[in-house]
This record gives sequence, C-alpha cells and structure tokens, in this order.
Amino acid sequence: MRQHQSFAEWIDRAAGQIMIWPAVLILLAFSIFPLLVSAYLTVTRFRLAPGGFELRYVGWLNFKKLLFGSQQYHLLGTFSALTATDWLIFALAAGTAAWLFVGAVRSGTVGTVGLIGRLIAAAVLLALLLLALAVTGDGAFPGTLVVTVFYVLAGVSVQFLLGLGLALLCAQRILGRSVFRVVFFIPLTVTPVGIAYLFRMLADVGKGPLTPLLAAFGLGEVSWAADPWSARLVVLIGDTWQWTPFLFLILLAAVENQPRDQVEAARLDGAGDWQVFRDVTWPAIAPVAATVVLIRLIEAFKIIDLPNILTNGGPGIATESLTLHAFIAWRTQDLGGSAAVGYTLLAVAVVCCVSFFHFVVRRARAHERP
Amino acid sequence: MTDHRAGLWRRLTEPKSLDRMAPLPALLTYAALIAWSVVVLFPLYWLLITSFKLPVQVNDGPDYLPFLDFQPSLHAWEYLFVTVGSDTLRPYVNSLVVALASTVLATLIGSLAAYALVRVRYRVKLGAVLAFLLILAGVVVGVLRFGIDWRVALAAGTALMLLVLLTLAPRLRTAVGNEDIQFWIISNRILPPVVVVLPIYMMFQRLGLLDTHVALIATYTAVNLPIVVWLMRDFFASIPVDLEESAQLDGASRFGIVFTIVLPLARAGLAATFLLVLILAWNEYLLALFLSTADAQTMPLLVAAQNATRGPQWWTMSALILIMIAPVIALTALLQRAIARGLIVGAVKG
Amino acid sequence: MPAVSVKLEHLYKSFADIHVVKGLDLEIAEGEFLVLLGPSGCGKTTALRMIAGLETVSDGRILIGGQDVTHVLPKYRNIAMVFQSYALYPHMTVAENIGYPLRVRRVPAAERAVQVREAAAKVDLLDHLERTPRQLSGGQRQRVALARAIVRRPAVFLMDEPLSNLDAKLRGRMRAELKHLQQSLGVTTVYVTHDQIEAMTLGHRVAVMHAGILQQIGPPAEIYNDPANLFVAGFIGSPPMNVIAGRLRAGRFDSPAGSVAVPGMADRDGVILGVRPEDVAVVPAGQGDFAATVYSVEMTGLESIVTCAAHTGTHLAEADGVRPDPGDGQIVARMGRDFAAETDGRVGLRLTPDRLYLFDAADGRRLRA
Repeated sequence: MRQHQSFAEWIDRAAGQIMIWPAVLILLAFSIFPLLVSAYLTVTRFRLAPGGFELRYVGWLNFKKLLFGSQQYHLLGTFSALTATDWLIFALAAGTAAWLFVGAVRSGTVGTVGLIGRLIAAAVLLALLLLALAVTGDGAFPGTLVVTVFYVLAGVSVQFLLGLGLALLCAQRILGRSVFRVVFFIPLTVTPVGIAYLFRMLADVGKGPLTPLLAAFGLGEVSWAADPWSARLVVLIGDTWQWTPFLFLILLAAVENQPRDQVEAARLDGAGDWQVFRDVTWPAIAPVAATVVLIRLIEAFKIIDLPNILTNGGPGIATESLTLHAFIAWRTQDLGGSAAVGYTLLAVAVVCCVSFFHFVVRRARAHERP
Repeated sequence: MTDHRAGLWRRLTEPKSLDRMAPLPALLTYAALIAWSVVVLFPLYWLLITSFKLPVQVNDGPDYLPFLDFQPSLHAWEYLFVTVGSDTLRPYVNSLVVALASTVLATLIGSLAAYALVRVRYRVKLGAVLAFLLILAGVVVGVLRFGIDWRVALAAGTALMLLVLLTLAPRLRTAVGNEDIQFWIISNRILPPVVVVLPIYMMFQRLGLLDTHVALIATYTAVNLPIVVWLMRDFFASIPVDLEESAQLDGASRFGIVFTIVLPLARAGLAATFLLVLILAWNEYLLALFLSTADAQTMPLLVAAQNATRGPQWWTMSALILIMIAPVIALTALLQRAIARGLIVGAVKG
Repeated sequence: MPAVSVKLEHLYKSFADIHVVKGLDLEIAEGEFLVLLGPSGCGKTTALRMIAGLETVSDGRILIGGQDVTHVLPKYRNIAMVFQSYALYPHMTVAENIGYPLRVRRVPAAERAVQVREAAAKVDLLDHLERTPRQLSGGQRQRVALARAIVRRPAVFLMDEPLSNLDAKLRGRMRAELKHLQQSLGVTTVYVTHDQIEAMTLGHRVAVMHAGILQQIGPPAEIYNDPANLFVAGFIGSPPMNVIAGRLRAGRFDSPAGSVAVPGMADRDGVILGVRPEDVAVVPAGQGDFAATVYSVEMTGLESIVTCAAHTGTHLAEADGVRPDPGDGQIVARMGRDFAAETDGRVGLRLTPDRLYLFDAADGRRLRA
C-alpha cells in the first residue's frame, strides 16, 4: 500500500516531465535525427553493395552538380540572358531591400541576430527573384525551384483571395449558410492523389466533361498537357480546388467573430460596405488571416501528389516540384542528390516562412496581446 | 423618368429592412456561392457517375446523365469488392488502422505536451542542447562515415551525454524556456517530409519494420504532432487555472486533472484537431509511398495504382476515391460545429 | 474530523526579485476562523496559496496539525479551498461538481451520492443538483463551491475572497451563512479578504497584512479599538480614521487647527493624532478642540457623515504608513441622522478624550503613554 502511494506520488511529481518527453523523443527520432542523417547524405554518394549499400564521401559534389553541373537545368533551369527590363526589376527590388535594411539599422531597435536574419532573407529572396528573371524569357526554362516557388506564391495568393471572398459572401444574412459551409469543406477531405486523377479526368481532351465547352471555344484540339504553362495551370487549379476551403473555413470563422458593435457603429456613422470592410472587418481578421496564410505557406512548399500524378511532372520537367524532384532522384538511387534537393527546399521554405512570420504575422498580431 | 430610375436602382441596391439583403447584392451573392458550389460539386458528381460507367462509355467521350446518356453499371464496384475484394479491403483497413491509430496517438501526445508547455515551467540548459546535437551528429558521422557499429556508437554517445549532463551542465547559465521549446516543436512542421523520409526509411529498414503499420503509425504521429501542439495550446491556455488548482486541492493528480477537467473542457478544440489530423493522415501519400509497398499499402497508394499498364482505370479509381471520401465527410458533418469553433481559437490566438 | 491547528513559521515568498511575503508568523488554533485582511498586493493571497500548497515556499515552514507540510503536495494536506471565481467545472452538473473530491478519492458511487446530498442540503441546494453551473445564479454558484469544500470534511478551509463576486445584498446574506456554516462544522478556516466588514464580522481573529508583513493580529474589537500602528488604524473603519499632524507639548497634542489634551505623553515632534469619526462631535463654533468649516453632510439614513475642513491640519483618507501631507485637513465626524448644518458654516469639533491614538509620523508606530 505504501509502495503504491509513493509510486503514484512519484508519477504526480514527475508529470511535467512525463507529459513533454514523449513528444520531444518522437520529434528527436523522426525529425532531428533524420535531419542530421540527411545532412550527411548530401555529401555522399549512395551505391548498392553486396549485403547492403555503401555511402562514399564526395564532399559538396551533389550540390555542385545541382547548382552548376549536369543537373543545373533540373533544379535551377535553363537560363537566358537578362534583358534590360529584367535588370530594372532586379535593381528596383535590390534597392528596396537595401533601403529597408538601412532603415532597420538606423532604427536601432533591431539586434545583431535580427540584422543577420534580414541579410539572409534579403539575399535568398533576391537570388530567387534573379533566378526567376533568368529562367523566363526566350529559350529559357524554369527548373523545379522556380516552379515550386511559383506554385506556392500563385497558389497561396489565389486561394487566400478566393477564400476571403467566399467567407465575406457567406458571412452575410443568407439562407443555407451551414449548407454552403459543409459543401465548401468537402474538397479538403479528398486525398490529393484522388484530386490529381479527378482533374486529369476533368481536363481530359476528348473524354472529359468540358470537351464540348472547349470545342465551342475552338480549343478542342489543344492538349494542355503538352504546354508547360497550361500544365502548371492545371496543377494550380487542382491545388486551389483542394485548399481554398481551408482558408475559407477559418476566415469565415474570423469574419463571424468580428466585433458586432463596431460594425454597427460604423454603419450608424454612414459607412458603406467597402468602408466597413476596410475599417472594421479587415483589422479584426488580419491576425487570423496572417496566421492562416502562414500555415498554408508551410504546407504549400511540400506539394508533390498533384504534379506527380496529374502530369507526371511533365511535359519534360515543366510541372515538377522540389519534393517530386527529390523523389525522382531517390527512385534513381541518387540518394545524395535527393537529400541535396531536399535541403534546398528546406532552406528556401525556412527562409520564406520565417520571413513571413517575422514581417507579416508578428506585425499583424502586434497590437493584439494586451 | 430619372426619378423613377433612381427609385428602381435604390429598390435594387438598398435593403427593405435591416435583417434582409437588398435584391441585387443578394442575387450576386447567391450567384457567386452557387457558382462555387458547382465548382466544388461537379467534380464529385463526375466521380460518382464515372464509377457507374463501363470502360467503353468513359472512352467514348463525355456522357453526363445516367439513364439518359448512358446505362449505369455496377461493374467497377463489383470488380473492386467481389473480383479483387481482398485487395481493396486490405488497403482500406490499413488506412483505417494507420490513420486512426496515428491520429489518436498524435492528439494524445501532442495535447499532453501542449498542456505541459502551458502549465509547467521548463528550463533547459542551452549548452546541454548543443552538446546533445553535437554528440548526435558525431554518432551519425561515426556510423555512416567510419562504419562504427551503431550500437557501439549509440552507447558511446549516451555515455558522453551523461558525462556532459553530470559535469558541465550544472555550471551553464543560459537556458531555453517554454516559448523556445514550443517554437521548436511547431517549427518541425516546416520540415518537408522528403528531407527526413530517406533516413526514416533507412531506420525502419534496419529495424525490419518497412511495410508495416508500426512504421506508418509512428511516422504519421511524428509528422502531425506539431499541428496538435500548435492548435491545442491556446485551448489549454484559455482554461482558468483556478479550476485546475481547485481539482489539485480536491486530491486529483496532474494526470487526473488533465483527463477529468482539462481535456473535457477543450473538447471542441480536440474535435477540430482530431479531424484535421485524421484527414491529413488518411490522405497522406508521400510517406506511404516510401514506407509501404504491399502489406501496409494505404488507400492513396491504391488509388494511384489504378493507373496500370492498361492505362488509367477511371471507373475503379472513381469508386475508390468515393469510398475514401465518404467516412471523412460523414465525420465532418458530425463534428461541423466543433470544427468551426475549434479552428478559430487555434488560429485566432496562433 | 477533529479540527486541527495551522502554524506558519517565518514564511517567505519571492518571485524573482519581488518579495511578496516577508517572514510571516501565524498560529491558527483548532476550529478558529482567522481572517487575513489587507489591501490588494499585500501578500495575503500568496500566503493562503502557500498554505494550500499551490505556491512553493521560499523559506520558512508550514505546519498543519503539528505536521510539517512545507513540501507536501496539496492533495495530501487535507485542505479545501473556495476560490474567488468559485472554480466550478462548467462541464459537470452541480452534483458532479460537489462529488468531484470524492470521485478522485475513489469513493463508491452510492456512498458518494449520499454525501453529496448531505453537503447540498447544508447549503440548501438540493433542488439544483442536476443543473450545470451556467444555469445558476451567483449566490447558488457560491453555495456549490462551499458544498464542494465541505463534502469531504477537510481539516482546514481556505477561502480566497469568496464573496467578492456577489452583489452587496447577497454578500450580506452569504456572510451570515458562511459564519453559521463554519460554526456548525467547527473546521479551522483561513479566510482572505480586502473587505474589512467581512473581516470584522466573520473572524474570531483578524490578521492585518501590508506589504508582505503582518501588521497586527487579534480579535476584531482589538484591531478596531487598539490598532498597533497607523496602517491598521487607517485601514480598519469606514469612513477611515481621521489623522492630524502635529506635535506633543506639555501633555497636549498641538496642531495648527487646534489642541487637545493627551495626558501622560512626553514631548516630541512629528506626531500624528488619529481619531475615529464616531469620536468626533460637531459643536457650535468656538467650542470644542478644533475649529473647522462644514464641507459636506451626507445622510445615510442611519447617521450623518459630516466632512469638515479643519482650518489647518491634515487628513489622510487611506493611511498607508507614510507621513501625511499637511495642509489638506479634512476631518470626518459621524453624527446622528437628524444632524443639520449649513455648508461652509463655521463649527467646532470636540474629540472624545480617551479615544485618541497617537502615532510616530516617521514610521507609523503607535505611541503609548
């Protein structure tokens, strides 16, 4: 009996540790440890050997191949010479970045870590911009890096705007709101693999339901799968179909949660719909909007199912995302290359998400907590 | 005349009473909402009718209306559930087991961690964390580069870590607190699965657990843990601490408090989190692709496999997608209210 | 359950660099109702939470029933606490709330039901057992919290401002109920409040705390009639005690507004005279000890509160132990309900001779003959 009591008490006193350690251990085993192994893989070459495999140390050869060597076309793309307009855009962006950075230094409120972080963020984002400019143009072809960033930027912004618009419409005094809410939620529940096939079916030229419609517009003979941009567009449509509900649902909850008395006060002051949105609704939902975009941003970088099944990454590598790129490298037993692509994705995702968190989410939430 | 037109315009754009919408905005609103409903529902309708079509009807070009355009047939369903019944059922059961088990585990472990991060104060010495990472990196390099047996390396690493903890750590000052631990846990979600899946694959290969439920359950639990912590921590923070202290005085243990007071009070959040994680686990593709081949094959893989050498089997694929969606939609309809309420707290307080 | 004693020995508590409780020594006898009284932030709630075990002790010891419980988990201390917010579990019915302490002790359901009904009967809640806290009024919620505290017959009750969320009328009634309940159960009780009426009416003894330090402990009448220092004098009583700055000369207290005899006191400077409103009488101008003008007269029905502006002197509304600011002299007198006087009329003030208190202006210490 005494034994039992003291054991129960020990459990009770150690509860704080018992509660946190399972989570920490799982994450150590499934993310920190693999991350370190993966980091090591990036500097090795994998070969099947009798009785298993061997990893040969090759230094930074994997990255060299991807950035400058035989795989450059795959990750970065094929370059064209930068035009005067390209340079102008880049100079503008670089100028803005420099101006913001000087402002941060001058303000004196940003610490050393903050400044270094800003430098890294600016460098990565500017490099991405330069790359994007270099791979668009005559004879140029974007690699998986730019395509992924395109999916993320275009996808998240379209989904956010659509989701917000639907949420605002749905938050009005309308009939059947809960019906719309359930219907709009459905795409979120469909497996991305299913969505990929579904859109392949729908977009099928000849057998798809849109065939008569396309024929009426004289597009009947065009194969979207053969054109890089229309193929990417179809991937984007599938992604949007799936993820708009997520943004819609949370933004709707936020809109419904906006302070009623403020809306009424604004109406009494004679504000119109647009003014109510700008002065009451938007400030009220901005913190939620920033957070939900961050969540979506984090997930968007991981896109693979749609391009893999919808287009097989094709035509060529036109619709391949970084994750798909890494997966294909793995399938060809290029484990080092696969890990290197993965790390590239990780670096870009971390810089983008952390920048977004610091410069958008933090700011949107600045005056939220008392 | 202008007066009359102005009157008409007004009647269209201004509401008759405060609790009603004006005709024109109402019309546009319903038009937009119905348009999006069509965008959402038409693909599902197409799935439904395709699953009742014969291959020849699919390949002939679009047929829209069952009984009018084409004669529905059960052959795809029959094929799935009778001809190759066990091949359909096994992945379905696999998916059920994996998704439910990993979701329960992730929700439980993640909730406990989120609760602990809200209510218990932690101080972890930064030096100890860095030492741990260095030793872990050393073990990894030792095993992979220099071919040291992994058991030996692990033992040496553990011994070294204990040495650090016993000698060095008590003297270190800088410590990380709850905010840092929480940020670390949540930031794990940024990690693209493709970066970590190779080592996880190798790990399970070593353990002989490839293509088993255990491998998938463990991995999904880990991948979804950060979401649970992220969503649940604000629910726990919003529960008045008085309730827990009162229970503590009444004689309840920490775990007793969590299970009788805290979790019941956070059930809206739990429902939303559970559903979200369940959907993610149920639909997951990439990790399953790496970690399962036959025995533990899940539904998304089975759907993907319908793209056989004979070309895509649209009819069976449609049926499979439908039976995948059905339970999730049923669950969603059940938990609808809780989800709307649940998501907002997590996101609002983010 | 026989009543037990509670003893605090030199109790300290600090959060980082802030010292909240500084060397608290208290002995609470078996079955005693002790009230910890003080303004917010004085450390009284922290002291209570240390007794409960919800707060760790920085230094010192806590003994309950003679046993050192300083480092014992709260659940082994056999203590029940009523929180300011009542801390009712919103997802449980009234019966489940009351039965919770028994449930975690694994009392069988049948026995539990009996005890819950017993406890509910004591606080007159039998008709509401199946409701949830949300459906109850403030007073009923308060009763549920009490029932939950008494259901397992604890050795000690701790109450943290339990009546502060009720409206004035209900508070009066619950006060009486609380007192009755404590007397009939005879359980040692520590009650924290900032409300002096509650303190005076409920406690066998009152312990006044200020800035983490115990100022005085004693029966309510003693606290009221014989305050140990300026803080206690000023904190207890409503309207608060009048304070007048001056000096002692030849057995008299001299201030610019007037002079009054205080026999047996040695000469000294920097003295504050304290006198309660009921010991001040408004008399016609020219009579009495002080000269003043009427500032306002407030009729409460029972009495008239007369605020006068002393011609020169001092008044401190909330005496906090610091040297009062001279020159703001208002003196409040408590007169009969039919008292009448013209605003700005000149009057005299007579102080009851043996009800005067003298304090050291520098540290607030009571000066005695």
